[in-house]
Amino acid sequence: MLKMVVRRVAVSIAMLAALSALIFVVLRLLPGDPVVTRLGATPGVSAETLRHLREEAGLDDPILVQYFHWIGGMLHGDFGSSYFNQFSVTELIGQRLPATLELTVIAMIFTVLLALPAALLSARGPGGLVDRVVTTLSSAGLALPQFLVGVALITIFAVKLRWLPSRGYTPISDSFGENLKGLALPSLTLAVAAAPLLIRFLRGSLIEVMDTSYIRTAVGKGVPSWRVLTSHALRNALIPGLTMLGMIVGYTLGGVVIIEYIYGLPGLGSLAVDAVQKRDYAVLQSAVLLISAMFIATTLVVDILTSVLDPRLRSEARRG
Amino acid sequence: MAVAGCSSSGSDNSPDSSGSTAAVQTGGKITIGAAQGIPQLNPAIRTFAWEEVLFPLLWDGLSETDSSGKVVPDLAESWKVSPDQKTWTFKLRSGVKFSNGKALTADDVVKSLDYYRNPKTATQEANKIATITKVTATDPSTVTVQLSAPNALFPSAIVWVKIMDMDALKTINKDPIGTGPFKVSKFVPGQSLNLVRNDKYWGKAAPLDEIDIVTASDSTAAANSLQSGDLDVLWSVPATDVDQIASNPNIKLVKPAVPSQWPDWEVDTTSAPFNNLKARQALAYATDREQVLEAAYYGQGTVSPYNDPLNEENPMFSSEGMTKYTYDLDKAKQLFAEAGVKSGDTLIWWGVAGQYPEWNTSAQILQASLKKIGINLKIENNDLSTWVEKFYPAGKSFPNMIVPNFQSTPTEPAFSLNYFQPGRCQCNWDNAEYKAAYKKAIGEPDEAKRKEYWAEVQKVINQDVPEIVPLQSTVVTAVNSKLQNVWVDGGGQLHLEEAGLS
Repeated sequence: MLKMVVRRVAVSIAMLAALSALIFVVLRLLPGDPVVTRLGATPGVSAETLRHLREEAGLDDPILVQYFHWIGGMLHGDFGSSYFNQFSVTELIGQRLPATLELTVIAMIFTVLLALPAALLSARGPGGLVDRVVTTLSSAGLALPQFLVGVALITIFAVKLRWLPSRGYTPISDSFGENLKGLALPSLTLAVAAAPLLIRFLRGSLIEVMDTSYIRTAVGKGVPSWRVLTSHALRNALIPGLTMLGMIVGYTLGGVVIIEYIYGLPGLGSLAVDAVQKRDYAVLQSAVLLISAMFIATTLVVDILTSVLDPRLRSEARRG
Repeated sequence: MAVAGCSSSGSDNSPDSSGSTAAVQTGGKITIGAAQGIPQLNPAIRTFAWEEVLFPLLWDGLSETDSSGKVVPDLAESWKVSPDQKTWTFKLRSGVKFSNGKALTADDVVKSLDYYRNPKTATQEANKIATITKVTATDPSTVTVQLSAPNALFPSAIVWVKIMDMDALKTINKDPIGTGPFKVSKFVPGQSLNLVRNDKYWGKAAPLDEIDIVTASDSTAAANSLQSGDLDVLWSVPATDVDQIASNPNIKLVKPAVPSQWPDWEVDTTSAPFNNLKARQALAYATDREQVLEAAYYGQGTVSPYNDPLNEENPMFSSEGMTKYTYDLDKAKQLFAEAGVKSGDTLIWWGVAGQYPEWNTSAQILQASLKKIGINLKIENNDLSTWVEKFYPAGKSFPNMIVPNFQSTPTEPAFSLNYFQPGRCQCNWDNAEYKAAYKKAIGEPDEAKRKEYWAEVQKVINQDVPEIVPLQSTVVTAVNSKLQNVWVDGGGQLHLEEAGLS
């Protein structure tokens, strides 16, 4: 077990190192740089001024020097700072992490609350009416573009009913109630897209498990069908579902730009997209690296959890 | 003594403007949205037009423009100019304090102006203040500015030069120190900015307690937020959404009295084919201005058949002796042929992807027109940084290309028509006649005479077509009806300093 964790962590670090070089190089292959973007098309700037500003920003150093400068800084906890506003990258990410984390947690709760009952109802009678309704609805949920779902939810709950705000984020420290109200619609929008994935996965593995001999035994013993489903089958069917959920969490942690744009949330996604457009090298490099690290960490945690829950994987890990 | 300004600025159709200040209550908080975010707070190096919303809220200059377009004293109490129009003396208002409590002195003004003048600052204002040779504090409340060339309009040149506490420049994005009616309480770059009333403000206290400025990237969601009341103001509404938003009785539209934002299609006047005047004239005739206005800008603006940056409503506008570039493909074809652009040749439209749908529609209209005379227009849209890199800064060669851009300028011609000075316009135009006419106009204190000189400048631009100016576009701002005294100047800058709830 420990060996597996150590190995996985080592692989993750190697992946991050390779990724850092990749991000760094790709960014610099794009035309333009932060200096040119900052100037916009300010008339009357001479080529000499431009050269000087680039020099000040350290953009005229050889690319390898720039790279090791960044890596060296990070090893000392200095992730660099934005060319545009001199905020350190740690601060910028710190400003945006709360909304992203909360959105992820609440959206996951909604996803599970939607998916679990739906999958159980569906798996109870595959091919039946309930199953067909659930399958159709989840296909629809998957197919609907998120901005459409978002706009529809805003129109109903914010414009017509006026129950929830249409946009904005209130920090928990300001008001817990307002904070939750602000995150309700964005989380629901995400859950509408994420739940179908989980439903399909859970339904599939539930049906598969229901076909195994130990379930047949349980049914034969006269255990009520609901109990068979919830306590015997579900536990085993949950394990692959957990992997799926982990992937959704990893994806959401990376910042969901479209949701952030629709609801005006200060999340990591819009920070990264904005940094690409502005060629704000330091911000983008470090933000992408952090997002990747979170994704890798999430999958790692899920794998560890899975092997704890599933003794078969645990012993495989011990052997390997 | 001369309080020279850009005089009265024509008719005024916005209910919130000039003189008709509505009664408002004290207190309240409003939320303002725009598609762009605010990336930084230093007024000297603002890049994106939306950053200008902060100018009247956080900062003051020596002079400012009021809602009728007149240039009036701000931090300066009065000013006078030497007879040769080269030495300007500003007397500062007394009792002005920065938001950190420090008293404003002539020294702060000198330091701020010097900062703007430093080429390393690379400010958008550089154009307007290029002729300053020296700024001195004659005494603690008097500042003297020396110019290298006569400028009868100098106070209007420095409307956007904001006076800062330069000792606080290093922390300007955390805690900007100005003398305006509001100060910053919280800033999340690119996302939101929270302003609160500045109790140390020297003028009449702002009616509102707080202003939240937020990024509303998605236009459909923003329109919904306006309807649900989560946004009180939406700046620069996409032309496609104007009609739908206008149908809501709780929302009013605020537009500038004289539009002074103009799309300009830049060409390189130093490389083929547009180094040939005939090719530029051909392009001017091939531009279907009416259709561009209707289809690309949804009618929000006015066409400029004289290819003139000045709007016809501008008091300094003139069309005397000028060519009207009516859409005429026969003329375009002939002129193109004379310039060596033949049937089957290809020109490139170098635009921006995603951000300016009106540019792309304009490109398609031009493409269809050119197709009819056998010329191909290849439309290439890239992200902003890639776009800029191709033709910026001035001096780059970009043959065969038409580059859409836009300028937001004051209504004062001195600071829209000066865009064509060499080294500024990426069109690389260097025209002796234009330079002489411009110099004469800006040095002329008499308004009637100056109008004649501005007419000469406009005529040179009209005849030599340094670039294509198809129209002036109107920046439309949607405002909740309960909010009063919001106005927008010609270039599109939003003014909220007197805004309040009714």
